[in-house]
Amino acid sequence: MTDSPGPEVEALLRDAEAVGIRASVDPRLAGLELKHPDDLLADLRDAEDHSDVDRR
Amino acid sequence: MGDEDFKTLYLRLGGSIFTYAARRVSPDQAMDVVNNTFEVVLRKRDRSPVDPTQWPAWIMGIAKNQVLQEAQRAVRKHHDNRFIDDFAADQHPSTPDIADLVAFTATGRAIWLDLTPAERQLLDVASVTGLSSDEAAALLGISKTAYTTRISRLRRRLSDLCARHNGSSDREEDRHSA
Repeated sequence: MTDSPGPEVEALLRDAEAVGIRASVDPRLAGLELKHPDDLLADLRDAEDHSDVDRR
Repeated sequence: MGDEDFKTLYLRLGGSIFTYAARRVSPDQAMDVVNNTFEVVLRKRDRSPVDPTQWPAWIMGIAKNQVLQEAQRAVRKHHDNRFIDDFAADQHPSTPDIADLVAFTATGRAIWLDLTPAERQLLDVASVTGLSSDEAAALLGISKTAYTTRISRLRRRLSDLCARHNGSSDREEDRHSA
């Protein structure tokens, strides 16, 4: 989709992990989970439909 | 942007947006940021950049605004509740410590707490997958050269902080074993 962030950025993220800082935070660490993309899209469409009905 | 593009972008960026947000607001708010960001993406997809390679940066711009809004909401809520809180100090729901979520060792936690807000933001943006250096720099409002210079500086800073914290923990151990 886009070009790579570059070796220096990748090295920074490796350095951070090496000292104990996560490059990415997993929501499950906080007992949460990202929705499945199909569910998210369905929920957002549903909310859109409801707001259309409210507007009418 | 079709439905499949939308789902692919969510799979690719949802975790990065959560990480970006969880370093500023609570995990629950970070999850709201992810969902609200993609709600805006769906609503505004007819106005998304024509070039698909620009979608990740466009979406991260929306996420950045959502984080700011969540942070402002949290401040307002705190302000509204401050008098109630004075009388219910022991009844707060426990808010997970962001540093505990971000770091997985004691040294990592200490280093994270020592980083300045600007250094933390740099690390957050660097960790977003799918962004080029140009896009990451634009998100921070700096030039690509400034971005790469700051990345190098942050690497040195992490190394210095690591040496300092490991040195202090060694001294601590020496004191206990003496």
